[in-house]
Amino acid sequence: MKDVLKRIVFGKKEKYWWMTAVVPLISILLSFIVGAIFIKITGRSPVLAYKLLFGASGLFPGPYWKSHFAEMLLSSSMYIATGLGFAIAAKGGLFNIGAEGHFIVGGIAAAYLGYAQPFAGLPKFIHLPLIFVGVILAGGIWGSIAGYLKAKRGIHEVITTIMLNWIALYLIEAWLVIGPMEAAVETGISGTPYISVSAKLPKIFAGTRLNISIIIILAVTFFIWFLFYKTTFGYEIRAMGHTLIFGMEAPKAGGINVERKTIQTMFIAGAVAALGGAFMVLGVLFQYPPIFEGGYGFDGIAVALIGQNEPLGVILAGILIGALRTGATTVQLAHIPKTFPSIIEGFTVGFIALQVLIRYWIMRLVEGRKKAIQVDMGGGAK
Amino acid sequence: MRIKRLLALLLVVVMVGVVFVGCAPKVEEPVEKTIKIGLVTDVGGRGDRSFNDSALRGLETWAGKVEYVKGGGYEAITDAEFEASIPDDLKDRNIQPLGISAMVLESKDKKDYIPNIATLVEQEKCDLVIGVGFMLAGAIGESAVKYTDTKFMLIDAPPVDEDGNMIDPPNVVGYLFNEHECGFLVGAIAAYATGTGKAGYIGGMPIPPVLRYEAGYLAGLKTIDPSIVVIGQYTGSFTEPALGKSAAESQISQGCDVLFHAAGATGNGMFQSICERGAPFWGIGVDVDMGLDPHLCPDRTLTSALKHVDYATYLAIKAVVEDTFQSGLVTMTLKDGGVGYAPDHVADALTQEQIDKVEHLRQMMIDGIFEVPTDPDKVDAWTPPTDF
Repeated sequence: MKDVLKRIVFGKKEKYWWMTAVVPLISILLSFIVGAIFIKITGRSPVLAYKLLFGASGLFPGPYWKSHFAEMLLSSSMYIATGLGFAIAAKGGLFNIGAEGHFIVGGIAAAYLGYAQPFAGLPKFIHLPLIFVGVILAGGIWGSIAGYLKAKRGIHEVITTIMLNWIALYLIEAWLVIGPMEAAVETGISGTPYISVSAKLPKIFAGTRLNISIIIILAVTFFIWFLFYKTTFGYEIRAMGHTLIFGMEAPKAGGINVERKTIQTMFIAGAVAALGGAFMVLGVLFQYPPIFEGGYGFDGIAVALIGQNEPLGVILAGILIGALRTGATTVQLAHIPKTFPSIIEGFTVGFIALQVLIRYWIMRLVEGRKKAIQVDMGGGAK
Repeated sequence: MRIKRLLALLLVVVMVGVVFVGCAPKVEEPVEKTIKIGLVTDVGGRGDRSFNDSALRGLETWAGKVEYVKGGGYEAITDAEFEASIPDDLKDRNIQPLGISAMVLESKDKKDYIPNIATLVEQEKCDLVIGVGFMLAGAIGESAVKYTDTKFMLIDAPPVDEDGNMIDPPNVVGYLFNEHECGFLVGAIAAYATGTGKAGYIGGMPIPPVLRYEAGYLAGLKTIDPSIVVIGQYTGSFTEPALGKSAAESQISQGCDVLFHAAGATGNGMFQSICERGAPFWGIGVDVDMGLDPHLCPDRTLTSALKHVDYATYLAIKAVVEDTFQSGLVTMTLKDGGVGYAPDHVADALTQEQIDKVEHLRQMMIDGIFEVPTDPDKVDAWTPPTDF
């Protein structure tokens, strides 16, 4: 049982394979404790805050649970998309901060294909797949620009992805939505026109906004897991990822076309993150608004870090962040600012960054104090 | 063995629980008489010094007679503070506390509007839910269809359905404003104040309310002096002070000395630019009385085109309290105190004779002697009034 689980979930043959799951859990726990201290300091009740936060998060059954649960999965599908965008690149040794840009590029592509005339009249079962193909291409190409610059010109992807985020933002918000893609003035709509009925994601939970986005993203996550752990292609990317950070040449010497793989990795990362933007436009907003207050891309980094860059971890972390986000505005009923759940998210990432320390603590617990120190010293001496 | 023990424990817990439940006092909750008003801000949120804060003043300060304490919670305010919060041009409108309780939910992004409204309706059982700004048009429209027993108010837009079509549910009132009327007045004031004969205009995005401001401003300038050159531009954003500053700098370098903005937070950049230069440049604020805002440029704020979102909010709440709520669209005009201009530094820049003329124009508009165009493109063809 342990072995099977180990292979399915992590695909690793480490001795302390469960560490990958325990470290994020402890980080989350610690951040909740710190969050409670914060609320206490400001003179409010942490119990009430957490009660409201989780009561409205959709994680636990309760009154109005149905709509909260639906909202949670709706948010989670977007966080999982951007989280995967980061995790995929991280597997290939790339630090991809471009999920925000990929997200909005996906959103605008979905909006355009959703309302533009030759497509808008198509039946749903042709129209929707067509939109998703367009979104994947748009996000993928946007992502592979950074990959190309990294592979062929050696420009660090952190720089290019950040810059491409701004380029995407201003291309869209300062040109497309107030220029060529603007809705006609007499309709009274600001932003792009609304997408046609055939472009809306089918709802799967009556009385709520929940749509098939969560199913799509779970399927995509499975596909990514399969790609990384069951195919040569994925193996090569992971091999690259293990060594690229240190600038080692082993994969290259082993016959992997590192340049091409870098571009391909960024293509996949961009395409998956772009799906999140498509979910937003096709399932929630039904148009691309004049001002898009995003942040999903950057929260995706947190999701990936909490999820330890593993597909299953990203799903769980995505659900956690989605739940925090869904409960976020409800804490205002207890007069706690809506930003409070973001503080928890920030702390969780902070504690994840301390994972070496947390690992060391756990190790000490497991192996006894002396042995752990020996192991640590031994590692350091080499 | 172990399972048995667990089962036994579980049973005990359940039984004890049942006993407690049985003992629970069955006191009926007292029927609450207080009317509960919910408000959902747009993403600008509390503290935007403009639109949202104005609506919150109508709800919290005027209708609720309370003050928001930084960090959360409310405190009652004194009568003097209440009086001070009412601007001069609304003093004669009989604004009295309505004894309601307020519940405000801010939104983090556009996705939050509908869940926030649902929370206010389902959990808080609000009698009236207010949506601030055109961005909530869809959320209010969809929710109104779903919760037919709750009343809704929408500021600055008519409600729309999922496909962006305007709808008119029987439980929604939408408040629109005649921005062109107050735009006209500040345009007239700007025309008297300019020394160079050039006036600047900075717009956020060309959405209907902003276009109405522009049309009124242009018409006001044209009425006083048709030879005044207007240099206008749209920044494409309501949230980027840097863009507003660069627009202001460019207009000033082209000779403008009076600048008006209808660009939300983008306009803060305009005031920054004017503050750095000082006299003889004047800035004109929008929506709220920006001359009272110490964080902008109170010394060089000539006037502000006022749009009384606060008063509209108050009126909608009052209608619910007095049970005179009517659905449909309400347009707030100069006549009913919905729009106006702030006195700020008008008396310093204009002569008394000029102020009288502006006041006369204002009276003429109230009496319906002339109408101001609502489309900037139609200002050229529009004949301004002459005998004022």
